[in-house]
Amino acid sequence: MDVEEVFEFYRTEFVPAYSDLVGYIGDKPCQMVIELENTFAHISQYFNPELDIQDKDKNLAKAYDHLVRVTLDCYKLLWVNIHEELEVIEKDESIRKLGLNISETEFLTKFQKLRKLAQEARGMEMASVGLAPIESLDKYKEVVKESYELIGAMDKNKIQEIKSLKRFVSTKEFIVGIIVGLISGYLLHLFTASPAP
Amino acid sequence: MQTVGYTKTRSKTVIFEEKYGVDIEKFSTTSDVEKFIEDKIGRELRVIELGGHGVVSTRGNIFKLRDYDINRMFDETINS
Repeated sequence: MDVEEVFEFYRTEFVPAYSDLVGYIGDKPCQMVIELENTFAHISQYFNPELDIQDKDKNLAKAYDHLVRVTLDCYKLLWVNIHEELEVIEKDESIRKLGLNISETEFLTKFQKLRKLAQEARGMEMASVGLAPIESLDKYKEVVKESYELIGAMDKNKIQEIKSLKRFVSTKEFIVGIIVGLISGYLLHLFTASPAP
Repeated sequence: MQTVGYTKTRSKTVIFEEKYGVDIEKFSTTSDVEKFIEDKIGRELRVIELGGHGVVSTRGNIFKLRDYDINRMFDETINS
């Protein structure tokens, strides 16, 4: 392995993965920053004149491994993030039934399939530990792609209306509760305060 | 070197290009990507911790090593 190849991997695989993650969440996860710091530390050792060629090569290989790991991590983190959004839909019956452009059954079936696909990607990565974990990259991408498409089934206008309606109902219940409480208190006061015959 | 399973053609993005209508070929570094996203969202990117699973491993050292366990986070999600 030479240093050009490490940086080629950076440009061809890591930068696209990083852009998917950061472009979606709109922030930089600290996990990425830490892994890049580790990558840089090993690359700096590759240029350390006090090290012999074997140690330099070991450091370069470690830098590459960190870069592979952080590339896969980009898609794992991205999927976990999208999955959390899908889970909100899954747990909210009214959004599930009324806030999607697809049927509730179709959503639940696809959501279930995504978990299975994610398990397959993880299994593929685990099977290639120490060999070529990068082989699972396409599978992780597939998981993210399908999850992102499912997020696209959300009808934001409908969901906004559902949320407004829920707010209205809970405000109404709150006000009714206060009025009932006041009336009850007043009636109780009348009964207890009236003089005995 | 020929890395197993790794093709040298530029990988296409899954979300980024479609979401922002750009070509990833025009971005060479993470700084390019960050600058572009910051321009789009109108603020600087913040460094955040996703998922609250910042597992810190001591690995037998007195001082804690910063090691965020993304695999654990992923495994918990697929098994949820």
